[in-house]
Amino acid sequence: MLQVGDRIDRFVVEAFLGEGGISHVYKVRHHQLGTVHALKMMALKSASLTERLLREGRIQANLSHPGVVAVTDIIEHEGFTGLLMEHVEGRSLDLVLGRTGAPPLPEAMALFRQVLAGVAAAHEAGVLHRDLKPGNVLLQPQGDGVVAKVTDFGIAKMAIEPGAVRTQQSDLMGTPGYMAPEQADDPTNVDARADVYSLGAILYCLVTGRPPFMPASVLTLLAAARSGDFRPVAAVAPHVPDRIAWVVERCLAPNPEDRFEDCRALADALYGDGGPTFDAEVAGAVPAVLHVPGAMTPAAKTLQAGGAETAVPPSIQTPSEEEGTPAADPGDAAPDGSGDGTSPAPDGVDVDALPLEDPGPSGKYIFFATAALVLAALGWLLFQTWFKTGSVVPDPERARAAVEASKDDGEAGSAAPAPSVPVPNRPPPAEEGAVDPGLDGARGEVAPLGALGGGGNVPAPSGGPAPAVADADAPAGTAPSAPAEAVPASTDASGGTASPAPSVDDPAGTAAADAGMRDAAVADATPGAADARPGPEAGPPASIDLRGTWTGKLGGRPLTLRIVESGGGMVDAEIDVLVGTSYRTFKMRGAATAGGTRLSLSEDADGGWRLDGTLEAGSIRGTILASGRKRGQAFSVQRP
Amino acid sequence: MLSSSLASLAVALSSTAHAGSGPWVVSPGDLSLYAGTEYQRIEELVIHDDGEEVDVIPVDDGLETFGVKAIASYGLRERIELQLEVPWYRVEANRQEGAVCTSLGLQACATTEGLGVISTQVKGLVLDELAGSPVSLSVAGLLRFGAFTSDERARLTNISEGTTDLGGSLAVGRSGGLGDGFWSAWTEVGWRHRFPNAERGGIGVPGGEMTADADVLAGLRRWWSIGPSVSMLYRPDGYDFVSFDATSPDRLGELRIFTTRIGGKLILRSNERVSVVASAHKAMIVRNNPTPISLGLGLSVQPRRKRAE
Repeated sequence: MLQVGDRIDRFVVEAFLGEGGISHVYKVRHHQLGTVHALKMMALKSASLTERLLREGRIQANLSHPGVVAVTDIIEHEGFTGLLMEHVEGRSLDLVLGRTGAPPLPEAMALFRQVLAGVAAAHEAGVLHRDLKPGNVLLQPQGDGVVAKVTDFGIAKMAIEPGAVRTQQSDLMGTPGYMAPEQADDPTNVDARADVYSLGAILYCLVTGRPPFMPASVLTLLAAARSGDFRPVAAVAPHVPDRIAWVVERCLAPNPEDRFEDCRALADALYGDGGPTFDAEVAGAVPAVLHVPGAMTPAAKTLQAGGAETAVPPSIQTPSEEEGTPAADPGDAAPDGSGDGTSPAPDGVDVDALPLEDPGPSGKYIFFATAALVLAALGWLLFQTWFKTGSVVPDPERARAAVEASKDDGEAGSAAPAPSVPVPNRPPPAEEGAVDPGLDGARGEVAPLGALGGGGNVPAPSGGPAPAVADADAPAGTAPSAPAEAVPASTDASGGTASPAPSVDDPAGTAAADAGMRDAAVADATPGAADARPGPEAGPPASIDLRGTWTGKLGGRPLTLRIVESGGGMVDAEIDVLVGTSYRTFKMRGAATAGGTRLSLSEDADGGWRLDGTLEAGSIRGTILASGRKRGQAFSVQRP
Repeated sequence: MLSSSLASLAVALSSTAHAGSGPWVVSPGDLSLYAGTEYQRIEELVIHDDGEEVDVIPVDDGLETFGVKAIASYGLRERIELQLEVPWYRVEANRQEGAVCTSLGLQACATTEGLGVISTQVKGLVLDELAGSPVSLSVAGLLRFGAFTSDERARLTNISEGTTDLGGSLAVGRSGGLGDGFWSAWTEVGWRHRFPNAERGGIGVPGGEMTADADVLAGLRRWWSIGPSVSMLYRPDGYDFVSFDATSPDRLGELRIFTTRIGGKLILRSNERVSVVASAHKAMIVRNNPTPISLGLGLSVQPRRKRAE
């Protein structure tokens, strides 16, 4: 924003005159010549908007006509571009009409003749204004009267070269109430008759003192324009001769075919003198009633977004627009009627008849195909959920576990070592039913899952007390219990008979009875107990096969634990937890100790999550702990 | 954030629950895929002037939107997720020669079809309920690219307004057990700066937008959840419908809008990390915007990744 006194190139700012959406207008004076000008400076640094302004300047600079505000130079200041324009010391027509109402008819017709002459000059130069309205007509005092000058060619369209200038399809230009209906549809495909429409609206204002359309909202305004729903001139201003009223109403015809084809035809109808000439004598005869001295108000409306902002320079046209828009015909704007000025569109295409873009129905097919796929998936999901509950995924491990469980029911009570069951896809143990005592008997040794015979896959509920093992992080009732698969009789807290089960090592310092051994006693995993070894009378040590899918909860959230053996005594596990709307997955690896009843896993990756769990009463219970945390979340899973 | 409304005049496509909603993230290396359809029907526009509702006008025989949306979420590392959303829409008017459609000009109701705003966001889980925090809390950075929707931005049937946007969001949620079932609740607020196409009266057009979403879902079995859902979009800077510049291609971006949609969602889950999501919403509190009914149906899959050896 410039301040009074600022120096811009060779000019000094004297006053701020007004602003629009993208520009400010100042009164400036040449510091050497002393001449006064208007300077329209961009308010934004935008390449495309600057190009529009320059285009406006080029058009007006080449329209050397007393009825058009002259542009004389282009100014650059701190990266902002400005147009140096003729300074008009009057006001815009809309302000004057708003203040004084309609002038006497002769003066109104004289003023309109000047406006018509300026527009005709633009048409002769191959330029359509496309935003003609009282706000874009400046009244410059001259003698006792005023001279009307057309300004703001910011959204003008060059029609002189076919295809030379077009604008983006979506650029609506003009001002509702003064804009031709077909321009609202497609501003790129209008001809001189669009300006004729606007001239008719201006003439309506001049003879009646009010705009042709005065609806409550833009929507109803545009609808009224499209239907030609305005009050007849005769109803508003009965003094206006019928011929003038007829001319106005013909200009405002919704269908361009019903309008005058160009400014010449309009001038003929109004003045009958063969052409829209600019008559300076007439200008001088415009009465003082319209002479409102004062600084020019360039009317911010003339600069609003609907004006210069929306014009698009030819440099940013896209090939598709070129292909999709009929080329302009130099004849369509020719005021002398030599061209095809009567055709609705330059190449004979009726603009109103142009169909709206319709990509066709293919998109719907994509939509419905996708919907069908989703519905099919929904059906599959419901089928899986409702009719195959518990067996969504065939799990041979689970089936095998069931067999083992039934065996346990009959055998575990006798504490007799059970032979291991051959596991599909895995090499059988070196010696069926026998276990390398070095694996399960030693403290902290790993028991390969399923490699050992013994207590079965799913231990039956414990017949003896199984006190929870102290785990500071685990909530009551879910604390893991460490099974004692082999406990010396002296440590049998329940008084039961010690089972000749595999030895137990509880690295956590606690141990509980193996739930799978109904007769097993519960024992504290004292160091002494931990050293317990099966007596010579003990049979082959047993191990629990944890492999398979377990489901349960982690802090109430659905949890799935899949356990596989990775070989070398190690355990691989995948944990799925539904958290909110996402599944979190933890890939863990670790060992099963204590005959396969105690799991200690940690995450493969660097996430640092850890799982500690213990098999008890057919469930694995324990905690999942994040790296760096002291408290974990309790979990409990069972075989489905 | 990505599930928020389609930001245009037709702002209110369904905010569909999917695997990326809420504060939660997928695990490192995990991929979550969502594919769904959306349908919206606009029958009325609420017109404001000077802050007051002045009219509710029928949009001729209605505008209909058919959408297909794909969302992929990938766990970059522990508690950090990258999400990409690619929508496609077809918006059409049932009667293009109706009063509103023809009055607005600029092919206001011409059928529009094509890609919507492509969005990507990086979400970081700051507080993790699995690790013992009382809630899950995430922050996200958002980049939306919709320049290719620019040519049709003046239409009532536009897909978006042709801008590139930068934004961020904060989401808080919690989930847990409900008997044999499961519940989850989350809310998310976000802001997106829209790099304006134009300026009018010192206001960038379109202006920045605030979004807010909230869901509460619960089910007595783990395989289903159902509950209410609310979504809000607010663009504080702009003009009321009556005074917007109908001649500008950015006329819809000029609108000062507010819309709140209220509805519900149903999620069905399998044991194999496959979910079906259905939603229905109705815009209830609206300013300078339509009052559509929106329906959504989608499929969310989190395929299991192979263990790295």
